[in-house]
Amino acid sequence: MGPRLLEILTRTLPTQQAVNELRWIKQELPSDKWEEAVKQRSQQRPLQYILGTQPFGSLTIKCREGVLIPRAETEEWCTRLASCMDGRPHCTNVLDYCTGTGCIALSLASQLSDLGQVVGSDFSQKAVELARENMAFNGQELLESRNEVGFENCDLSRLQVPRSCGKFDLLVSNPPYIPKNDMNVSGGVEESVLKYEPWSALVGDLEFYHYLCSMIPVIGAKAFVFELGYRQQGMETRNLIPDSWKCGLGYDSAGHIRTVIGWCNQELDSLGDMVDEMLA
Amino acid sequence: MPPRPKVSELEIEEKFIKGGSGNGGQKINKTNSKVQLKHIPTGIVVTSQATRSRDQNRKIAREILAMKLDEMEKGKESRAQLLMARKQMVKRRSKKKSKAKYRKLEEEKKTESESNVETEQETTIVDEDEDIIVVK
Ligand SMILES: C[S@@+](CC[C@H](N)C(=O)[O-])C[C@H]1O[C@@H](n2cnc3c(N)ncnc32)[C@H](O)[C@@H]1O
Repeated sequence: MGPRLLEILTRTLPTQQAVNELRWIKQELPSDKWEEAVKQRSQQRPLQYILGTQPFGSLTIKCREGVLIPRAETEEWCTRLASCMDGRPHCTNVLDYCTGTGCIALSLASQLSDLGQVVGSDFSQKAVELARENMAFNGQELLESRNEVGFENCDLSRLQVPRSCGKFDLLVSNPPYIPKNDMNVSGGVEESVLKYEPWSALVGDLEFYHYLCSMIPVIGAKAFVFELGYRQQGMETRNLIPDSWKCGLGYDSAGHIRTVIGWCNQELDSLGDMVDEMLA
Repeated sequence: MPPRPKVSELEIEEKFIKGGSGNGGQKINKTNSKVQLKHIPTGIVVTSQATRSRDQNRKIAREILAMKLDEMEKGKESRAQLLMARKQMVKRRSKKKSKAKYRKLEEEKKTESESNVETEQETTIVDEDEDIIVVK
């Protein structure tokens, strides 16, 4: 059975990836599910939807159709953010808008203690439900940091503020950032993403950075980190926040522009560790 | 058992190998979380793609490197020994971490299907020395 399953996977995946993925399928699923898992995978269904999870830092995040799978690039900047906030004069109350599975909110809440309230919000009910499940699923990891974590249904385009808390020092977000015109293979989007992941989590552009920048004064944020896919989204953000704020871009480990970071006072200068390129 | 050797972070150069080109982020959903470490003083390179977790792979790669250096120092370097130790280590880790998690996940799912005998069994790690590449 082994060689045949591997053979099916190598038709659509590079050999080493097929070997790895088959090993994980066998480790994580009961043997009567292997056949079906391999079949679905060879039809490009994401492995994380088949196995039901994606590791994210030290957490295990549950995944299912209708909610975007957390990306390694997001995991990377979350870890970087936590390490530059660790032990420094820190932020109270963190809002993660467009929270999806809840990965960003949960990751920060598990790595940093005494943040106060950590709230994740999303306009998708499916996402909010899954995020709540993920909070319970990772309960052990969240226990020690003494934060209050919660998830709510809110629409960013209507600048809705979570009901449980109105003031947040830090606003983080990974909003949909693929422009409609690029939502195809020639725009760099993988077939499996196009076919299986929710477009409402992916398609968006400058308007989301407008909404996010408008949220900053509404919730009284002193700092922000937004993920992005295009330099222009970072430049737009820089132009929308007051000149007095410090602002810069962060790169991911592959060298691509991945985040825009801003903060309004010296106490938060340690966020400069997130920045690879300051913006004037 | 002698204490497990550690390697100073200052002597390590770390790389995350994603494979593929393009801009990544939301556009691509990778399953690969391969980690490569280079020990600067000796030039030894080790990699790990044993688990789906980059966090775990980073730890595993460090343990492999430490073991490799330890073996070299003791002069009784044996590839067979190293491979065996690594296998056990990976097993231990996936047991400790993912097994517990996935068992929990399975238990939640159990309502739909009752046959989950297989999850309790240890599946042998089949990849092999792919994960230990020693470049001089
Ligand atoms: C790129 S996903 C990010 C998910 C998660 N934070 C992560 O990093 O994996 C974007 C998320 O934004 C949500 N979203 C899109 N438009 C929104 C809006 N107007 N208000 C609130 N959430 C929105 C989608 O439902 C989706 O979960």
